[in-house]
Amino acid sequence: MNKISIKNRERLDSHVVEAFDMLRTNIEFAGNNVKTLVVTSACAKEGKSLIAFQLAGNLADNDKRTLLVMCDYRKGVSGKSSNVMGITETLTGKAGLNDSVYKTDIQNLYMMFSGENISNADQLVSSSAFEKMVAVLKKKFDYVIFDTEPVLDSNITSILCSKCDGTILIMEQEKTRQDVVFAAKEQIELAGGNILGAVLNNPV
Amino acid sequence: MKPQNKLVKERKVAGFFENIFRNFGTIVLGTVLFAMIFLGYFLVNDKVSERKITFAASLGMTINYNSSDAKKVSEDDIIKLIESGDLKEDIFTNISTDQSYSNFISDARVEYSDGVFNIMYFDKDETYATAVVKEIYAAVSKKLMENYDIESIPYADESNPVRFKVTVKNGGFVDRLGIKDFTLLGAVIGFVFSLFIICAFYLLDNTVKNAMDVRRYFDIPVLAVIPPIEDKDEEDM
Repeated sequence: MNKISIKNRERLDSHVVEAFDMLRTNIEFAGNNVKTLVVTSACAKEGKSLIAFQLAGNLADNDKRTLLVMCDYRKGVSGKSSNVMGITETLTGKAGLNDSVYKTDIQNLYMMFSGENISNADQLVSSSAFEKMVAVLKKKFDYVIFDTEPVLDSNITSILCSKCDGTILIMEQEKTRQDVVFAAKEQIELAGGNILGAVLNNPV
Repeated sequence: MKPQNKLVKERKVAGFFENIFRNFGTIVLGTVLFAMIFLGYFLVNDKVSERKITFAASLGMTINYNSSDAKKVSEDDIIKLIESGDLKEDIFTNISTDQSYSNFISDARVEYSDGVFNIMYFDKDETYATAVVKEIYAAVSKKLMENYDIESIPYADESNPVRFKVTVKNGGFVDRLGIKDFTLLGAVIGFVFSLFIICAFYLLDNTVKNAMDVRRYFDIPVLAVIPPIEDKDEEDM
């Protein structure tokens, strides 16, 4: 398994840590059958990647083997380096699952990336190969967190919601409009997703 | 109405006055700001204070007749006398003006009440109005003494022969206002405008405010409220 280093993982204030502890606890209360989570929002720039990362880190710190899947094809990490393997490479057979999952320097935290941005990424995600991949990941990890694109901007997110155990909807206080949240909720429910709950992000 | 719209409407009504209370400082600021603007306009703009304010010099006179059955002078008689031009020479002897007599005399008024004839003249210049009204009185008295059986035409009020009152000639509501009233008008406009802006922003604002909003409107449990944290560059990850 390849390794990556996470730089500058800063220490959070205690009240922020408490908030993520509460989030982790509420997710654990959702039941043992909730292992794959989609973290999404209605619109872009609402802090979902940050929250997904911090949640994954918190779960890892609490002895849960956690895989954070960076599933945002719009800003795929693989675009920055041709050596990074991801979902696309795994599902197209260019790489094995072991080559696409990266161990980090945070104990119990692993990462996987979207891979090459292809035009039919939604077809890949809705394929049976993807479902098999997720099933394998569920066995290997306690939690698999998918950091996705905004649900109203991408059908990939809706597909992921239907294939995962739970969806967490991120909202930004005093920025996210109510009508947009209604639309996002409707979209997820139409796709058959299970909304575990909302996380209210209170930025500076 | 969609259920979500009904919920939004309920919340709007409930929070309406709370929003006004929370933004009271802004409303006060807007009120003071507009009051200062109106005050500044009044002080800077000379035409506001000069254009419409006109003095009315007023002189009351009573007519004492020689006999009880002498022909009485009416209000219309004096008005016709003044407008006819017969008094032009007498009045213009001591009053200088560039206007024609008819234009000049159009600013004169005559009123009759309780045995007193009030002759008034309107002008921006207080001293000029006083002088004119006295000349009109003298000319009218002289002509009436010639044509009627009159003993005397004294001032109605011996202790204060010429009364002044500030009035607005052909002016509207705003023109009648003094500096205090103008400033107060500005404050009222500022208060109403600020209130309108606050309410408009509130009614148009449909963003998610707090966890209670999430629970009430979307029927979704709130898993956590994340306080402000520094954004993390993905490059660092």
